[in-house]
Amino acid sequence: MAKRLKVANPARCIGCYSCMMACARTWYDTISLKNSRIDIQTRGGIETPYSQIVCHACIDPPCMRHARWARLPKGKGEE
Amino acid sequence: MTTEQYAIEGLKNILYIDLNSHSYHVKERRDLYEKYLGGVGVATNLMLEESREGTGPLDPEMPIILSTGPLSGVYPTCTKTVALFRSPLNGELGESYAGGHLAMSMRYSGYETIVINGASRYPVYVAIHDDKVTFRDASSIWHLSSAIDVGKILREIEPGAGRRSIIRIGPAGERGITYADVNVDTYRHFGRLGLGTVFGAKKLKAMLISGNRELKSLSTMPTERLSVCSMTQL
Repeated sequence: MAKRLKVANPARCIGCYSCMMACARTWYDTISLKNSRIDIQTRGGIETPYSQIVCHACIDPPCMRHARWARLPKGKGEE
Repeated sequence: MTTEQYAIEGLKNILYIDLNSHSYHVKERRDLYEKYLGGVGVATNLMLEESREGTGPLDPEMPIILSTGPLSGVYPTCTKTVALFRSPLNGELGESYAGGHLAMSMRYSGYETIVINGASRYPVYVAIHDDKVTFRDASSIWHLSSAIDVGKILREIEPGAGRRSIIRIGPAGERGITYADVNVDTYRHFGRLGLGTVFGAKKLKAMLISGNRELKSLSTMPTERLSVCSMTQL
């Protein structure tokens, strides 16, 4: 069974980036934001809610077709 | 003791920005970071090096120094950046702190300390993306009535959403109000002692910092493992 990354409760996100740090630390052994499979983004400072971008595991991912948006690498079990 | 012995990859780089010639250079200053943890210790020593006696707070030769510490961007809630300058309000050493994303962005761009020297002839904003530092004309955003709008405009034209920090001044800083502040990420401020006026005197409207570097984590360090938690108890 393929694992799929899911945001449990987006409304409670305060943008502390702890999840991104934990992801990069666990899987890549680095302290970074770039090595995370979760992407927390702001839309205009903290006026608006934070948005969490994770791979939806699409069968034919549109993001992979466009180099500019291919920010999240396609994961294991998501092929 | 170096910061590397604290199990976090060492702080070392200082970015010198010269607004007179719109140029910059990076210097490795391990000597300072070995002696001090970073932040205000390093900034104070740089201030002693850079400033000369008899220089006024708003003179081009008077530097602005932004500095972060070893836990910035590594440990949650450690988010403060210190700014050191000479205050136009009382002429003394100005020390102001701000939160927001700035410290994290500085750490991940690889410049733990930034020294701003000189003054531009026309309004500029400085965009720092990793090792690329660009000076862009800010004449069109110089007289905007609100610093919030400046942030909105820069957010649209510069990349790095989520990792970047935008610091900018408003009309008070441009007009030389002696207690003008600098806005960091809309909701945080360098509030004390008039840093905004010093930015205004240098014709520096905004600074945008974003970085994508990675630091080695504890387990990849060759030195003895030391947890971040035990470090906070030292």
